[in-house]
Amino acid sequence: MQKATPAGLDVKLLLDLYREMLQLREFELKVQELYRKGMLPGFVHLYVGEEAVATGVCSNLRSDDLVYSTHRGHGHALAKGVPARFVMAELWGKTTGSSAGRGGSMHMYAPEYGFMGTNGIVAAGIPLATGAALSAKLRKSGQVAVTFFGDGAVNSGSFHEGLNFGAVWNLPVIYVCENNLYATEMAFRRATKNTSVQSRAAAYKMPGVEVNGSDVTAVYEAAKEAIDRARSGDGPTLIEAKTYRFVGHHEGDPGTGYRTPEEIEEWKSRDPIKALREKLLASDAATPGAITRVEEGVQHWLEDAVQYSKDSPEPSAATVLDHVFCR
Amino acid sequence: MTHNVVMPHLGLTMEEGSVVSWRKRLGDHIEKGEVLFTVETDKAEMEVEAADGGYLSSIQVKLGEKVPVGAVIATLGDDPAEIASGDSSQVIPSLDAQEMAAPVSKPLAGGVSNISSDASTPPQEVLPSSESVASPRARRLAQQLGIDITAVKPARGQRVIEEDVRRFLENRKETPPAPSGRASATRKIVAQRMTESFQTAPHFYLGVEANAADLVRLREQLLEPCQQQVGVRLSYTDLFLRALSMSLKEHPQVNAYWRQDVIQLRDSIDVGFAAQVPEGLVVPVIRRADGLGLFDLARQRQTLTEKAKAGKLSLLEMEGGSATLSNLGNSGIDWFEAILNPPQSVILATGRIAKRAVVVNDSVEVCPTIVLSLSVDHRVLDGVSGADFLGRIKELVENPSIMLR
Amino acid sequence: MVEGTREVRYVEAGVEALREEMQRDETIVYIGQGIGPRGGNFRQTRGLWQEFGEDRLRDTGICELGATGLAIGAAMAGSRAIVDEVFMDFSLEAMTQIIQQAANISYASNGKIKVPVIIRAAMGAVGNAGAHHSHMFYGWFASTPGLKVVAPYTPYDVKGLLKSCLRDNSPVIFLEHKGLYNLKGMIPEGEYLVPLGEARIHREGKDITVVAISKMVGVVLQAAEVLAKEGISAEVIDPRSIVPLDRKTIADSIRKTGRLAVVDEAPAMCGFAGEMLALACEECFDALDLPPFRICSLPVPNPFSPVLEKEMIPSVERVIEEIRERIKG
Repeated sequence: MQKATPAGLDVKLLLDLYREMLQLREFELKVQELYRKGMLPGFVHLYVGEEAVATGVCSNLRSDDLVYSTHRGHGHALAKGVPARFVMAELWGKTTGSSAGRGGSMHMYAPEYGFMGTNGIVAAGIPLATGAALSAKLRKSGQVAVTFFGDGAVNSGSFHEGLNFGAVWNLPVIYVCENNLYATEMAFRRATKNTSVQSRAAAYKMPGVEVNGSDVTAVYEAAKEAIDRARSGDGPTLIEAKTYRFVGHHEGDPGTGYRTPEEIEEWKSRDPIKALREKLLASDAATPGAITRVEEGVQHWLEDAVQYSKDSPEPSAATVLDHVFCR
Repeated sequence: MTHNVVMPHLGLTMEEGSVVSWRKRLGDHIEKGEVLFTVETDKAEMEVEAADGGYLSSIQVKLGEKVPVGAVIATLGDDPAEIASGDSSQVIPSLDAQEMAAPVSKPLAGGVSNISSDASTPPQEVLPSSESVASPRARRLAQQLGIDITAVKPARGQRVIEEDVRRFLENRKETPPAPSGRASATRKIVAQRMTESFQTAPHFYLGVEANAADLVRLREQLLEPCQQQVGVRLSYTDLFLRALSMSLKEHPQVNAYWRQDVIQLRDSIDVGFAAQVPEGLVVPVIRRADGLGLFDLARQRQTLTEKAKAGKLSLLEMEGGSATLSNLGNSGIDWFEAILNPPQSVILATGRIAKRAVVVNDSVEVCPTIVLSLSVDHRVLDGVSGADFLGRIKELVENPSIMLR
Repeated sequence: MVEGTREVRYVEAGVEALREEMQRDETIVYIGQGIGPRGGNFRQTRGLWQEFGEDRLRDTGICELGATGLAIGAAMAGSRAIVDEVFMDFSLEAMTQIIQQAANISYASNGKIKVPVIIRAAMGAVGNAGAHHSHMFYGWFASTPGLKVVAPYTPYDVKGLLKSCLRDNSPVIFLEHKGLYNLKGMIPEGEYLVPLGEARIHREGKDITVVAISKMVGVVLQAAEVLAKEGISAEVIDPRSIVPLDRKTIADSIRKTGRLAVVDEAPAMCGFAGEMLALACEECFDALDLPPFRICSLPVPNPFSPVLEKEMIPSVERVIEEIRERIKG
């Protein structure tokens, strides 16, 4: 068993990581506000509290690397580089959204940014990402594939079959488990006897690593190692990032029926964004001014995304039959 | 189950005989014991009763054709729809086949004004009643061909299919139509009118036998000129129509209707003639027939008959009329009593011209004669007036040259 | 249509198609159980591993769900993938990837992501294999928007269609029939393609249109021979692809003959045969001389007993009797 250790990262990178996480947080809180106002169709699963994982992993990726996400995927999309405008417009069902309003929160695709879709089916992305990695290997493109999934996915057949393939064919894929301890209301400890996700890697004879998902630099380091390993042809890695969502499973679930207030408070006290902010301010590396600028920048960035989405049109009904098949 | 009708053994020495007339047509039902046909032997003519009941499904001899005793001359079947094609034309005697109205596409009954007869509108599809079912394909085909789908019977099962419609069309070309077991819309109209007439007007009947020798001769002479002048083959119907018109002119009280306790005289002489079509009875009417010469009458008769065939008679050509002629001479009928064509007061029924034994100057001679039968509405006319009217017709028939004036 | 000069078996025609296309397109990768050195359970990839190597012909364990997901993911990422479920019955393990993922991606991504994946499987009853190995649920795929479904009958069509499918950017369910692998047929030398969405009229006729797919085409052709001697001329149509479907050829035929029979090895309920009856009523109503009818497998799981399975599946005798009965009464 390995534990990732934070290394000395330069200030610019840390500020970037801070900005990134703040963007994810602010975006999700805005989505929550809009959703509660009844402005967004469908339903949403928010990423609040888990920002360090998406940020830490995706900051290591090339734009042509491929990410397969989950039902809780807005953070993954933004972290992978899909512009906020297109993510917000998609949630709003507008034609300028990344799927032109046809996918929404759980069927959001932006292949031009290497974002190969959020997914309404738990663990579905695991075989898909493994296949994408196979394609990359055959085409010798140097791409890697990353698949995010939660603790709820690790007991599924797809997890088993996907990781097995990744290992036996030595594919450039990184399996990132965002273990937030609950699958909807089902506590992980009640779903399985072996609550160590990373330990399952041994069953497939692939490297497994557990990382503190509240520490973005730790995630960053662990991901970097796994991605380098994959890109150099040494095969897959299973990363278990221990994290927590500060909100319910989906908007409408308060998240308190199955979790104690103490537990929630405990995790909130380890808020990765707050932690990094404090760390930055504590070291003299970043001035308060610089941090404020970042924060203001995020606000403008968000306002722009919201306004853009608000002003965008809905798809024309005449397009309903388009794209059933591929040209 | 098919029953054979054979040339009967009607006398000790009878070896052969010929059928001179049929009392039934193809498809008609006959009861056991009912008269089916008349046989001529070397000794006499005799009516022959049917030995079994059934539907006349085939006729296998020509009229007048000598066949040995015991030969099969016809068949009776259980199914009214099963009619053997081919020999049915023999039902028409050699006299004049033109009178036979060819099938028309529309049901027409004289005087019934609620059926559209505008030649430019397509035949109305009569929708099947709840008892009959026709496939969409069959219905469409029937509509295209101008066939009343309710007149078509399915060969198998209960659904009329395309094949049935095509067969119906073929049969109609070859055979005179047989009444179907189920009443078509037209049939119902005819039935209603005839019932009304029969039940409302008190009918009496007058009959007289006229010497037709001169008539036959005259017609023979006129065939060629008529053909040349008006392009029409002169028929006996034309001669009877002429006689009828002339007599009507001379007896204006016959040209009248009974209406609400009043005898209403008509102011023109319009004569109708009965034409049988598959769907029922058609009575085209020749207007102002008294003003027409014989050949013109013939030409009008021809034109109207063709229109009736094509289903293109206008309402004017069907309604009203002073009197009607119904000529069954071509059907081998000696005489019959017709039902008045309402609201007319007389109807003249003619049978076949046939050689019969007559008394001339106290001796028996063989002479072509014809039986003229007049049905009269007793509300309008009495026996004497009717007799006068009919007597004049007889006179014209026996002295046909008068009709040429 | 050039029929050909060379006799091949149904299974060989598929291998030829694969070989030609894999030579032409080096992004093609084939995944499945036993499809590598062994050449496939039915010999459906015979010789390919030897020619193209283990990178492109990848044997798997028994994990259809994973293998199918991999094929779809690879197709999304720029390869052209074929996953061989071997028996259609085993595709059930992978249904979530086929229906939830492959079928939806193009539409949900507004056409931005193509999914050139072929899900290949052998369907139908053969050799009394029983309930777990005899399924015929091609209709389930056909009624899922986003999937193309192809089911060839002749070796000519196997090769031509498989080649077309390997050039199609949509997910295609390519269904052969276990009982047809030894069927012989003629194919031409040289390249040819059979387009999707084109039905084939195997036999022209004027009295009744009979639509059948896969192995039932053979059953119907045999029945048609016998019926012809009785004066019933059957026009036999093989749609070849279910989605996209050549409705025009079928409708034109029904309008010509006025009658439709559909012979299907799948059970009647909610199946393709019902779809054909709907077509007849919707598009050919006024031309119908007889209510359209279907002859399907009885609605039972495939029995192991030969007597019972024979009873279940439409046979030549049953087809002849039903058609004769309906037409002649």
